[in-house]
Amino acid sequence: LQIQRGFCITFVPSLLRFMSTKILPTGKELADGFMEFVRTTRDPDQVHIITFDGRWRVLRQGRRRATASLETKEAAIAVAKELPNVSKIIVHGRDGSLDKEIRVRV
Amino acid sequence: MDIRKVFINCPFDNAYFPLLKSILFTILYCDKEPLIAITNDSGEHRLAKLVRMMKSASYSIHDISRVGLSGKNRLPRMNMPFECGVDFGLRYSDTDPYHLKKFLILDSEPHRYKRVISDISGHDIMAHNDEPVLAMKSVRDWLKPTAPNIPLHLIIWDDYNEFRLENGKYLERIGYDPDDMKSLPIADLIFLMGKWIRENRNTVI
Repeated sequence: LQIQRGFCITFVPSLLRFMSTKILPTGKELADGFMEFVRTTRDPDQVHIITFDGRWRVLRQGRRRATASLETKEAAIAVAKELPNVSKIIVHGRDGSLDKEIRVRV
Repeated sequence: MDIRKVFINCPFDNAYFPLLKSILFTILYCDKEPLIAITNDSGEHRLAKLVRMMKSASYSIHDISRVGLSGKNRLPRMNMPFECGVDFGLRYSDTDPYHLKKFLILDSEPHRYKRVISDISGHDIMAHNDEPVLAMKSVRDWLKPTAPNIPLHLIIWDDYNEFRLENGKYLERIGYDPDDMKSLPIADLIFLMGKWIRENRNTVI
């Protein structure tokens, strides 16, 4: 009986933990899913605010050249809001990650 | 020794992760293949694996910015300077073709290396000030002679910002933590970066 109890105490929680573990995609499956995600979610009407060399650049999605380069983040956001056909402003942090997302009424 | 391979010797922790990501992205953008000790979990002895990677790469990046005292025991992290020394030993062993190896040394502040490891003077030593964009510029400028069509780091930085946004959102959606180094395997991150760059980079390197 003690052996059975010991088995249940050690084995059952591990089994439950294992069963609740989500199997996340890796390798090719992960990469294919990512490219599909990019294709379906990328918004041509979004504008990026990117910090570079002490200034804040306003860059339309898919463009190589910045629309404006300003001294402050707030000024860059204000310029982005005035641009035509802008649905979303993406403000990036100093490490390139997403800092904040601003929805714009068209 | 392969001129497309770049060996990276750097800290593996979440504080350094943003810098590592920008370095990996730049290497892939310059059409090179990054080699990093945690990408290959074959069970091989760590030092043997590192030496094998050093021998196979024509280029090496050694980041010594975290050499100072750290952790609750205030002990120095010796792995980076040790691995840097092993690679320099290979470079100066007068063995063909390792004498052709090229090194980039990254540090947090300019000239700090002179106080901790002055013997490396004369090599390419750049300071990134813990800023991913400066780490990117250092790596891009260092690799520039290998491929004349590498764009300005401004272009690579813009693309990297877009990649970070899309990659972060995607990983969160499927259950990974994009800011935790232990969440998604580095090999998978490299694979995602490479795929994104191939589909989005306008320049032929």
